Amino acid sequence: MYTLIKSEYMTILPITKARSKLGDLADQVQGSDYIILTKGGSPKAALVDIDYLNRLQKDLSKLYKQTFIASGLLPFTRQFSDEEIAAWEAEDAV
Amino acid sequence: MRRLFLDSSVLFTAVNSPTGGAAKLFTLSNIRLIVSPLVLSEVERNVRNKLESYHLDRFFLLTKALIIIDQFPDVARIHAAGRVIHSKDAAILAEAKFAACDILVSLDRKHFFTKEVRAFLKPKRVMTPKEIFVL
Repeated sequence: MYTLIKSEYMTILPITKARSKLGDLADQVQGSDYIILTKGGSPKAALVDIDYLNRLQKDLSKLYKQTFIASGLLPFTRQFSDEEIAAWEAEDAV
Repeated sequence: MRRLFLDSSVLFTAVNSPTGGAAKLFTLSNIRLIVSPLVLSEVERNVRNKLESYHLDRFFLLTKALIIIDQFPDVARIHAAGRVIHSKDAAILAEAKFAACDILVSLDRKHFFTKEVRAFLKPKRVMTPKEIFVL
């Protein structure tokens, strides 16, 4: 018997155990339900409904369609801390 | 018409807080709001990492009201700015110093409102959004 962890939307399964029942597993993934395949106990791949994957990729391309981020500028940028964001908000209050 | 260079704190806060002074700057018709590609990159990076997706929409909406200058970071200028301000803010200060603007607008009182920074920026001034309203 192998460890199979199920949550509301995903199943976690070792790759070694998934190999023999890939056809059944492919039938199981539907909508946003997907299966995480692990190797050595760590997540390695996912079995995802192809329509869901296409939708995710479409949403992502829409999200990143417009950007001002230039890779050449990123080394000059930094991540703001929660503290400074709060201080700016306090200073900005009118 | 005054040309205001917005630093990252002002643009980020305008996105994050629609009722504050930074956001109200975008409603003034007698000023020009200027940013550099560096400010846009830094703010967008943080909006994507720290805020919600609707903030990203707001960020892009606000950028339509901005004049984006054609200026890129210069290591020598950043080094010079680093002598008067914390290294984390040196790139933005250098951008403001050499941008065609009258005023640097910032919300970072601790680092941008020192005697040294004011002297470095002269004849440009450094002000908060609230101070802009009483000009």
